[in-house]
Amino acid sequence: MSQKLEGGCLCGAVRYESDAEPLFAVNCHCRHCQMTSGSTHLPGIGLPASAFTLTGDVTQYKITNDRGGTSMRAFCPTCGTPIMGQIEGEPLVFLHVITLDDPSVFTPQMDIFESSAQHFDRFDAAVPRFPKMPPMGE
Amino acid sequence: MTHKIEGGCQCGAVRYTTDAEPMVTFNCHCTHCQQASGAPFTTAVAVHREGVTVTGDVIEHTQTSDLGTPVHRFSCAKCGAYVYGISDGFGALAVNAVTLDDASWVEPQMEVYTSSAQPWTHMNPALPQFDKLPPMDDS
Repeated sequence: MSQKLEGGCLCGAVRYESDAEPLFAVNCHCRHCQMTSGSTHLPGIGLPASAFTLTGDVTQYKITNDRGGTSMRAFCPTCGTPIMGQIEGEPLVFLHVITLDDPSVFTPQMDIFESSAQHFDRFDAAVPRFPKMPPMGE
Repeated sequence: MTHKIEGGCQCGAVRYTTDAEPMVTFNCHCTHCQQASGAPFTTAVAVHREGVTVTGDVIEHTQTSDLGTPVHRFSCAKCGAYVYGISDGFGALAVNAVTLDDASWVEPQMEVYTSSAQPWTHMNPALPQFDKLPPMDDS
């Protein structure tokens, strides 16, 4: 994934681009990802917020996450496509990879929040899973 | 066994309910489902459109399907949750299974539109797969 990343919503009102290398690539099975997408999990990549440029209007929806912080999702107010998420105070964008012009470049490194996965969801046995977030170095 | 079709979005602004029994449950990998959800496929439960009550403000986005008929997608205008779709080609409304209040009974019966599935998605090998839609009896 070394090329420029470009994408947007279903109707084209929202577009974005990034020159940065993704920091991580995950399938997230948390309820927030499920409800935002209407699907069992959301494949996403982490990008530095400083290297992410978005054009067009988005509507933001905020919730309190399981760590007591604030998580935000941004979606197109015209067609509804959920584009990305952000955790307040963290310099990262969680980009929903399906909205990339070429989503085929995605390779998941792990499945996270397996503890809230639906029983009818499916996993790739070769990909590591974590009940919530993976252990992170301090 | 009765499976109650009742649910809504994550902020609670959009709710739906019907007494109808589900017709079919499927994983759809079509490009429109992918773009509307931001996910590689949706798990959808189809019910007869008549008798479904929906309350709350929704964003409606309409596209033309590969059958040439309109498909309408509905998301909550406040929280953005993608809740359900309607295909004019069928008498059905399809709710996204994860938005059901109780999804414990949901068992997908088939994978459809696998011709546009993402190369990295993981399908259940035990389910029948169809490039587009399964053959349907017109009688």
